[in-house]
Amino acid sequence: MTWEDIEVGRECEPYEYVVTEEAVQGYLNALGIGNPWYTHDSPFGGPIAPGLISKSDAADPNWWFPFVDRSAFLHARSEFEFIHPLRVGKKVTVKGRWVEKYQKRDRNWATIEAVAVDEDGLIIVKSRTTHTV
Amino acid sequence: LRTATKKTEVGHELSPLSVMFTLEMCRAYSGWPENKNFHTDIDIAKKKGFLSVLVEASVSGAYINEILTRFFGAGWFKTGKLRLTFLRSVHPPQRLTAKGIVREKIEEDSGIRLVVEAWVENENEEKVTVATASALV
Repeated sequence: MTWEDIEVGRECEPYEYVVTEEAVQGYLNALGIGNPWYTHDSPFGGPIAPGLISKSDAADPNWWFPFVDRSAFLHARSEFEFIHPLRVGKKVTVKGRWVEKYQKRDRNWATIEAVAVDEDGLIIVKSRTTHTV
Repeated sequence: LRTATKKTEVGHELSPLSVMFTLEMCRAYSGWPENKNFHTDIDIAKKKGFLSVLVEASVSGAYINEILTRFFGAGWFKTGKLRLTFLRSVHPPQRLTAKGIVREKIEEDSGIRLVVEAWVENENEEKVTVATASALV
């Protein structure tokens, strides 16, 4: 499949993930940062996940890789709107859809918007990611 | 942790965050050794024409997110908005430094929204990622 096969408005297959303590610690170790809110306690009661721990829900490889030339795959922009903190250990469900595709400077571009909701039904973050395709 | 208040002035500089991002960190971030690609494997990266492995763009986004978390505190997780634009590739080892400055104060019904210009620069002081962010205080 290619950029031509992307249908604006089409929904992507939803996916789920759980942010575990181990995942948070691995993320912090890889970045070389620390923050007790992520590992001990936070103003929300208990540890919460870093805001970008998923990197970008809208950039999920399973959504993009069927359409991209991975050797020329360029992550151009990401936008996030944070609604609620994600408590460590909660399951997250992400739903997304293709919202635009266009050509600019001899490249093909596309954008996915996604919403991540935790197992209690709280919206965690709305995100939007644009890549070359 | 929280430093942003209604009294924070335009021009306030956020506390920077500087990290020497190594090959080992790059690989850990991108799932080595399960994931072998141009973010983790030097041979694959060179075959794609890169000098070395390419740091995932979201790494610099993570550093920007962290200085905003430390600046806005709990409000970041409930009212934060962030727009990242990725400008330059990064190859490890590379010192990455996230910085930010308050550019605007906007009155909204539910409070004052501080708008921050943030970026990550490499050790040559070139911006690799730029961002516009805001949250209520």
